[in-house]
Amino acid sequence: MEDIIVLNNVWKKYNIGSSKKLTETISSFFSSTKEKNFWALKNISLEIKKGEVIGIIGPNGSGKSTLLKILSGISFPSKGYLSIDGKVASLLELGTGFHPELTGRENVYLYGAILGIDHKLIKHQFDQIIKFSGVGKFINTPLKHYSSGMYIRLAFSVVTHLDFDILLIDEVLAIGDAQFQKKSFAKIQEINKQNKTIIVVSHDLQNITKLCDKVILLKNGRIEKVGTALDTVNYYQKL
Amino acid sequence: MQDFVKIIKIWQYRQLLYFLTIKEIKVRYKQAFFGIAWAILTPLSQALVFAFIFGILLKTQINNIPYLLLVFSGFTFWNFFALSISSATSALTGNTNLVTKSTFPKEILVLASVFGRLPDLLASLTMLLIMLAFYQINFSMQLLWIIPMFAIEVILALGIGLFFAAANVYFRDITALVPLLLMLWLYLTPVVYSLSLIPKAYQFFISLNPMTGILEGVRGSLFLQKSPDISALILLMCISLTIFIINFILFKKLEKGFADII
Repeated sequence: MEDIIVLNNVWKKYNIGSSKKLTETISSFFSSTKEKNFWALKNISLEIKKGEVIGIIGPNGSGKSTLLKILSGISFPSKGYLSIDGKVASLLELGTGFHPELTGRENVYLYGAILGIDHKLIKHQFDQIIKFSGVGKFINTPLKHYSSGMYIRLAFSVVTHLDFDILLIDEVLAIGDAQFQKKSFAKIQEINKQNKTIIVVSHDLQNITKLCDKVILLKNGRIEKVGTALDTVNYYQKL
Repeated sequence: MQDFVKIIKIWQYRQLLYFLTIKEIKVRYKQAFFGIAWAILTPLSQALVFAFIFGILLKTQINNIPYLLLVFSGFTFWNFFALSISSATSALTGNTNLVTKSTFPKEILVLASVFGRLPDLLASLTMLLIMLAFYQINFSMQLLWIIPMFAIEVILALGIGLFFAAANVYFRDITALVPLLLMLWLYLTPVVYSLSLIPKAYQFFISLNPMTGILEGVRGSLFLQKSPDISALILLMCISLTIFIINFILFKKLEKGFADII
């Protein structure tokens, strides 16, 4: 099968001095040494094939989220080569762009547009999105009156019903109540059956093992191990 | 050229632009008792204060145009410009989440913040036309010239807005600088006065400001049933387009760093 994602010696440098948010995320690395540049990713080379489900695990600050940001095209590598052959939907956070003053219905369309999905397609899938989310009659209520569970369910439902080749997920597996978790897990597996590529970042090793064909372990911005889900997770637990 | 092609990409995201613009408008007036009436109350109160000071106290009279009308028309078009730029300035820094977690071209955010000011302008413009009728000023087809004039103003506001939006990501000083700059710019633009009031020796310098040409053109068509000088109109359009294109290219160059820096 063809490679849908190729990374060749990708490096990512952050300038620690100038960013507030960044210092938060990497504060664990920020020891007494006054280094101005921080390499969040070091020499990452990867090939991901169409239809694969890839898990990315590793301790906090190992570069998992940076890698997802680069794969989704939000950040760009400082060095190295990156090629992605397909439409990417990135779920770095559920409901990015949701606005509390707008109704559920308005937010579905807004969110779809933010993800770059055609209006007609959302319209076509609208009823299914609502049904899956279980939001029901609240669809015409402003989002600020939603419970956090309803909010998350609606966002997840929008993303997973839309058309893409590659789905990037950051720590959003464990959402909603137990029942919805089961449903969303099944949904991701169903998406994978349609030969879509899925990349999941998570600390939930149990779900990662169940879901992924291949798991990558990142540590200090480098790939520490690549292997089958069980192999890598076992290796990680022994670290 | 490569950057220029990216302008076409805006078209692919027109749906998003539409939704974000609607969102801007809805969110601004939700839970505001006066709602869109603010779009009229703001320039009207500004015009009344100036009409009181200059029109009544100092008895300023310009080209036989009622001074209140002159100032109201000035603020109608100036406020759109100034509010567009101040909205644009925070279009990226006020949407950190969208900048760091989504992939659409970020100029959409700037465009939406400027387009979101259109209903305000339309409301204020309606009020202006009512006042025109009240003062029994003749309407004529020349009135339509305000459309190209306004188009030039939108392009200019977008160009400047793109610059400040991107610069603000890198330096938050811009947040403090822009209101000051807009205030100084207001004084140097014939909003509460007219170009004819400026001594000949200085008229040239005031005319270097594209907003001068826009406001003078608008007033000519509104109050004097006069069509603007076509070559001046074309020159204004070229200046605005140039400002827009340069800043668009600059914006696209800086965009790659937005998610890392913001």
